[in-house]
Order: sequence, then structure tokens, then C-alpha cells
Amino acid sequence: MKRILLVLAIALAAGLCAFALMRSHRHADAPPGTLLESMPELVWLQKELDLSDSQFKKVSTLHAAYLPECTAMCERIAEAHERLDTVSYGEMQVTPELKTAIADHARIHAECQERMLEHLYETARILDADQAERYLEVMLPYALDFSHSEPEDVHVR
Amino acid sequence: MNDSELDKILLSAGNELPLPPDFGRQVWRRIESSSAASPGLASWFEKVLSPLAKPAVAAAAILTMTALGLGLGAGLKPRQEDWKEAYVESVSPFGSPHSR
Repeated sequence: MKRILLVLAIALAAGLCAFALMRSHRHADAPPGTLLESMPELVWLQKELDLSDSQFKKVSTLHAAYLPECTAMCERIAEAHERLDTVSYGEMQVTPELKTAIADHARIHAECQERMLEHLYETARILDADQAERYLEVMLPYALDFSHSEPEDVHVR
Repeated sequence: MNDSELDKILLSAGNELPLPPDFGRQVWRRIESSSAASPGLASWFEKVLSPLAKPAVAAAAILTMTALGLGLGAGLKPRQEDWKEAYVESVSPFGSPHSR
């Protein structure tokens, strides 16, 4: 019985190792040390727009330079959200502090939106006309994101 | 252990409630039925898995599991849509927090 259990354990371990190995191999989808390995999100850009090596190199450099900025913006937005959230539950009226938090939140949102759009246009300028059109067609809705400000049919009488 | 020994143990436990006359027999019947069930299950388990004791079958089982792992790992390749979402998340400060 011990031998049978040992065989079962080895078979299970072999299956798990094979799964993990194949999954990590497929996930990387790029040779080690390459740009795609360090920034796998660029796989979509490369495949979708069929970038040349030169375009891919330029786009990757731009992307890498933008990433720390984007992280910083993400933190600023999160802080502004949190501040607005905290202040809005404090009192039952629009206090000067709440007014400041609302203004800060709107300003930070606008600044980050502007910077994201700037990055998208910078990337588009590296591409040829068709690629740029396709890229902006897909990406602009994410940067514009009217989901929080569009009236939709809330005020329809 | 016989019925009288069991009675002695039960009496020494200080239970003053009157026991049904066939209580001892019922207890033994339950012990017998439970001990009869376990070996059945174990022997069934052993019978089903016993071919694994043979080296050829054991090797086949390990190879099958390895192939299954490779197949499942390959089948779960990230979709194009996942890479697109990853790119959008990486350039948008409004989405989920950046991991870098």
C-alpha cells in the first residue's frame, strides 16, 4: 500500500510540475532578458499593431519612462479619493475643507488625464497613420472615460 | 470483553438512568457493523489502485499525469484580451493600482 501511495504522490507531483513549467513558459511568451519579459503588457501592442523592431524599441522606451510617472499619478489619485471620502463623511454640510478636497480631487484627476492623453499621443506619433488610428481608437476611450460624468438618462424627464 | 464486563463499566460510570434490557447487544451490534464497513472500503481502495504497484503501470500513470499537466498548462495561455487589459492598466492611472 505504501508503494501505491508513493506512486500516486510522484504522479501528482509530476503533473503539477509540468503544469507550472508550461504555464510559466507560456506566460513569459518571450526569451529571458528581453523587453517583452520585463514589460509583458507590450505583447498586445506588438501583436495588435504589428510593430516593426524599430517602432517596438521606441514604444518600449517611451513606455518604460512613463511607468514610474503613471505609478505616482495612481498614488495621487488614490490619496485624493481617500481625502475626499474622509472629509465628505465628517459633517452634514459642504465645509471649506470639503470644498478644497473636491477641488483637489478634480484638479488631480484632470492633470493625470492630461498626462495619460499626452503619453497616448506620444506613442501614436511613433506609429504609422493606420497603426496610430487603430491605437487611438482602442486607447482613447480608456483615457476619456466618461462613465462617471456622462448624464446618460438620469435626468431624462 | 463480554456483556458482563461491559455492564460493569457502564455501572461504574455512575449513570443512574435505567438502560433498555438489550442495551449491551445493541452496542455490540453497532461495533460489529462499523468494524465490518471499514475493511470493505480499504480493500476496495487497495483493489482499484493495486495495479499501480507494477512498475509499468506506475510509469504510465506518471507519464499520463505529466502529459495532463503539460496539456492544461498550454491550454491556459493568456488570451489576447488579457494582454490588452494588462497594457491599459499599465498606462492608465485611473485603474487598479500599479504593481511596479
